[in-house]
Amino acid sequence: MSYTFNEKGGTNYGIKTYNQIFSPDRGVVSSASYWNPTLISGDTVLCKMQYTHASNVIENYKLLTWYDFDQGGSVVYGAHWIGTGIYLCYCNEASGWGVSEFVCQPSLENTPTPSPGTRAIVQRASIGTQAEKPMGVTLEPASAKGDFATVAMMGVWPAKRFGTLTLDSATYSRSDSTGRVTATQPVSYGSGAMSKALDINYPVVSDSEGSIVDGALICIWGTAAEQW
Amino acid sequence: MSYQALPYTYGARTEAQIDSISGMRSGATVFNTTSQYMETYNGRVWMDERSVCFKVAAEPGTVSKGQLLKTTSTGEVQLAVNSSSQGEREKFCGVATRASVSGFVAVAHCGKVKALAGGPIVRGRGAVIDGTAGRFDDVTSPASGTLGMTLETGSTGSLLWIALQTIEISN
Repeated sequence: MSYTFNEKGGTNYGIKTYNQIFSPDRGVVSSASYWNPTLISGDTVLCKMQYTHASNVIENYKLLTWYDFDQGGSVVYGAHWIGTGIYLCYCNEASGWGVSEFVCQPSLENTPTPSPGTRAIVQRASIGTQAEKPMGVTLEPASAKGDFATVAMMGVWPAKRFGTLTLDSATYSRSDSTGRVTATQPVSYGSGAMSKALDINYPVVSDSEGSIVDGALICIWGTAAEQW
Repeated sequence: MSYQALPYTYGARTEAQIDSISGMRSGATVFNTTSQYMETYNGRVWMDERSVCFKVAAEPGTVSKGQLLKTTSTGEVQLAVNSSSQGEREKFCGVATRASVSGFVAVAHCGKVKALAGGPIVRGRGAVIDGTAGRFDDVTSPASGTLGMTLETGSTGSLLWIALQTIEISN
């Protein structure tokens, strides 16, 4: 079977929703997000997300490529969906993390195992000074320290949310180890600001049962975080 | 499962050629040889990896390429104006990559983008929102309100390359 999708995107798999590509229940046949193809390195897809502003539905697309990071060597990195602003990161948490959780890079681990090479060492912020160093939102779960999983640090992505956000102000990482985004600055005004919300109520699937938690669709600036 | 290389729906074209395409569907793709970005049509505007689509508020109604924009509480965009208010600076959302189309506009939130100069610009300086709505000015030292760096020298009203960074919200 082959896919060309001319006039519809020109990718191997055409257009799929964020949930079809990333949500924890995408492999469950009865799930609305079910999509479980056999992927090979180099396959591509357009990831679709949508939001509504002033009663107008607006779509966002991102090109993703399925890439096998294992090119020999002893460390197994696996295959992942990657694209501009998406990076494979080292999980620095003993119990890992879920999908759509915001992680930071507090530089706590100097000699991790297995070696991450130049890959970022990240974790959900547990204190304000960690939340001041935002990295991005997780696209894959990690089960233990030393796992490698993809993190998006630029562009439009769903994230778990705490409290109320507004569409005209900055968002920050929460500092309670839950990986949620919040309108409350962790230490001082502006410090750690990393995105703005495009949809302040975007349900996030949190497990393979299809459970829904509060979320938001955020646009991560992807450059520097406000530091003073 | 066979693998096929990614074919762009409309191949590689200049920005002017892309803007003249008609009949495209959501998800159509093209490589913009002017900006050097792949673009995807979202049913309203052509967008690239730097940009997000917004609805333009009733005021100003339309947006030109390179204008600096801010978000409203309903998610629409208006022209950004320089302000000493932290809360006002926080509303800045980016630079229009093209003129608006039927009330919608693609807004670059990062990367290299052409922006409308509000005064004479010198390359290598900090970029800030200008006092003239929708335009940028330069500052010799990055400080509060800095949103990026100037990449070329030019005159008032020119479209000049800047590199967008996160706006410095605080004083």
